[in-house]
Amino acid sequence: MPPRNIAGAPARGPDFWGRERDVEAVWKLLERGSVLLTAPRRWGKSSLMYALHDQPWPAWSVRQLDVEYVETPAQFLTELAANLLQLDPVLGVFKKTRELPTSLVRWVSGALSEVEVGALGDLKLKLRDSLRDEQWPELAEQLLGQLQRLEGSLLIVIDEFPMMVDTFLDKDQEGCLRFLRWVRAQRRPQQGLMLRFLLGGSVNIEPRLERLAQEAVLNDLERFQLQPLPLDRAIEFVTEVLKGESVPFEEGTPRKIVETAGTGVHFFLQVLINECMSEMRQQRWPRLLVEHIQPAYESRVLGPPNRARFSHYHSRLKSNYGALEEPARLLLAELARAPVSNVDELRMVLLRHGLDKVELDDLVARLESDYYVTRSGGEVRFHSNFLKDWWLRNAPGIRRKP
Amino acid sequence: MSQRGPLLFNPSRASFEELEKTFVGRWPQLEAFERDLLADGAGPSTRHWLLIGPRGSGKSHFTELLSRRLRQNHGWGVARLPEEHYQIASVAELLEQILIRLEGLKVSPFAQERDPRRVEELAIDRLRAWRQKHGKPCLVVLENLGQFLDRKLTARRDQSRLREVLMQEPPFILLATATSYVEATVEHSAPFYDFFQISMLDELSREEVIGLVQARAQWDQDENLLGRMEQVKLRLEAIFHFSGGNPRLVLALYGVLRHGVTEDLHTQLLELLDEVTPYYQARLTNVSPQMVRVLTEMALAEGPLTPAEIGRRTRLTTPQVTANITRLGDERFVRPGGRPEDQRSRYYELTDRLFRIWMQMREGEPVRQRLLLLTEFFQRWYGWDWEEPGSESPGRCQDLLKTLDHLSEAFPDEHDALRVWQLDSSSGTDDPQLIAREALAQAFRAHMPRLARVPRLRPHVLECYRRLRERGILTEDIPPYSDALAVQNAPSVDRALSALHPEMREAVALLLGRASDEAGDSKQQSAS
Repeated sequence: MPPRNIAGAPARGPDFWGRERDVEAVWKLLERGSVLLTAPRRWGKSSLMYALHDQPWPAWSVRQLDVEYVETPAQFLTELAANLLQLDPVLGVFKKTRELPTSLVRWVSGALSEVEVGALGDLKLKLRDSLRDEQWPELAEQLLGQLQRLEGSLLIVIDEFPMMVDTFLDKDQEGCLRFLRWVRAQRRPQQGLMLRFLLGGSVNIEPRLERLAQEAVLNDLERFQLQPLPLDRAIEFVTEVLKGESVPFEEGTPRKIVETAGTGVHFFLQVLINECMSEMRQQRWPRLLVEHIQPAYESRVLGPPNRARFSHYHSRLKSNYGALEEPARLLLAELARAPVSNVDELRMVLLRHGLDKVELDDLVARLESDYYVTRSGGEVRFHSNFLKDWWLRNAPGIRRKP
Repeated sequence: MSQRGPLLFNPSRASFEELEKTFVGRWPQLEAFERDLLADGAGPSTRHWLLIGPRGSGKSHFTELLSRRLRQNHGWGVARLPEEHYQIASVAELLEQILIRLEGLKVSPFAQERDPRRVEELAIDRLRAWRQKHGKPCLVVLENLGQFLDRKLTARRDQSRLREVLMQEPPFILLATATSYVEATVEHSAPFYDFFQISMLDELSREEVIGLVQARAQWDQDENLLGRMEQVKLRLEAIFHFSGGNPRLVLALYGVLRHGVTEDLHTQLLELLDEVTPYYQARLTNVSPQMVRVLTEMALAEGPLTPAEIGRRTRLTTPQVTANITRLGDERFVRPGGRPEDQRSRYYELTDRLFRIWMQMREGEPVRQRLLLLTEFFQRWYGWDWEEPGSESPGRCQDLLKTLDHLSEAFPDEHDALRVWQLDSSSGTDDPQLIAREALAQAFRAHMPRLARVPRLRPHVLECYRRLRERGILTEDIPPYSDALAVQNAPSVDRALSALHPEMREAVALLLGRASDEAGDSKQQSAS
């Protein structure tokens, strides 16, 4: 079944398309250890997490949590426990009360006895009500300790983990670091159950931890960075989505959509497809033609919806780049005006502004790792046309080249 | 016949049949939406939707009809929240209100609960249980998402929680509406950043406007209006240039037309403006004084303006103007237009052309005269009081061409021309030259649109106008002929067109034969 155009929500089942290799790569990494999944927002992290959850590898059990709204370690433990108890094998362990530590029995089994099966919210409330904040380290230790009695492998997917940690740090720095050290301890190899965490989120928490000299709490994690689809796969994806949406189109249309978006990120392609479909309906076009794409992009995609979409890229230069802020701005302005530049041209830009001491390669590498640009051989360009056109329209001091 | 005023149309009180029968122009979008929702309800990917359309664009009609179709035809549960969200200040209260509406309860089952977190969890459990018990999905309709997130669900934690509820095995599908892009969905750090699948409600086309008026008249069994539908159509075609395709305004127009189609388009336009005055006044109360100042200047200008020009006229700095325009753009008051010669800048124009005309009529004397002449042009162009231009025989066309040539050259031997046009003057002066000039100007305005509808005569009409102006026979510019000549002589026709207000742009496009949706186009093409 071809994928539908899912622009925003996690794509699952047949709508999750073209990421088989990513899924396999993540499972392989998980066999080695816990994983930190990184990518900017809307690049498909949650969809990938759901793919692991929906079709686990043999012998794996998966439980997924979204914890952005969680505010304390105790609340996190409540969420985790209530979710784990939705798994039958885990439930089985906690029903054998005679084999559990007393405090854990009091906490978990007491709650279980009062709650109907499947009432997750009620279970969370019971667990929350019988948990005192200072108890969380002890009970967390016991909870995960008991999991060792299970066989096989258990993956706990925690979406928006960095966002939760950010909240913890704002509220109680010491308590948060204690929590992070505990989570790290749980990631150490154990004897029985293979327990793995997949931590995902769009906020990069590491700079903040570095400032606290606490980067070690995350440095044991395997890293997996989501990448856009390559050109041919992106064209294939667009073709499939148009088919899935029953949109008649001419042969070159999918390629034109990919070239106009200037990226293989599913979300951006789908935003453009969505707008092309709207324009098609409005104009009553019988077929989506190559010539329809650019006007639809300019009239419907750019403008109000795009205005705030990338403003954080602009503000981040000021907050994160220090002395490199000005050269970074100059390079990005140049790339916005002349979409593809080679490294020598960019070096000339810096020289013209008296910035000859800046290490261009380092700067480009940093912009690349922060998803501003991509570099292929000697050529540098914006990561997507969405971002390039945003820069052209919204970044101060940009003027089109005549 | 219903006596209800058209601006008071309330979809939630209308019958299913009325909603269906008076729903015009958006059926493909509604059916696609319904298909998507049904597929989401049955499949693993659940999207949540944001329907964006300006005020009066028919969002309530759309969502009401969609939700009733889902309920009646597919057994879905539907919870439609009140537009103002008075009872909601947290995610717990939102879920509680959804539950009350879904189950048709009089009192909240959690009325005794004092802890909002408990209400949150218990409501989610109960919503999930509802879905499990009924085996059908549930649609929640929430209007004014922007206001809801800005003023009601303000706590970040609450927004994050709602996002979590909507992502993790969601107990319902959320269909939200907004008048413009919602800050909390485009701000990168916000929980709902690019979260919703967006669907836009575009304006109705000219044919759809006619369809809507006809559908309403049929529903109201307004035999009087239906009996003169051909006349009404021509009036709608003309007035569309001023009103655009906002359904609420079309319904206001419908209300005006029910009282009769006056001979004079200008009068009818004024009636429509009276009808919509309270609506526009209410809209302006939600806008800051500086934004109103910018809007007014844009409305009174002779065409779209650049931010720098607005700044000069309002004595505001360009950054101030740009900031105001950005906010006005978000509210869909203004939109970017073309670019002037200086490619670095951009024109901005008011999105709702009737709103601009409404402001012009209240504030700007000079533009009123232009508007009068323009309504006169459209009235003649779409006039029903003369024979179809397509019926002009080749011989008659030749006669008309000769007359045009004669007109261009005849003055001061104008009397022949006047005889041809069978006009006399009632100006009260004895000066034959003055009488002749005035009569000629009137004759020109009265008859030229008719001639210009015949494609092969258009160049002659403009040439005639040019000669009469050059020779001082026509003493003042007559829009849209003057504008058409200016555009024709501009280095870039497209750029010159983009510097005009839309209704003038359309009139000029008609005169230059560049309008793609010319009224009666097919007839004229065959005639020519």
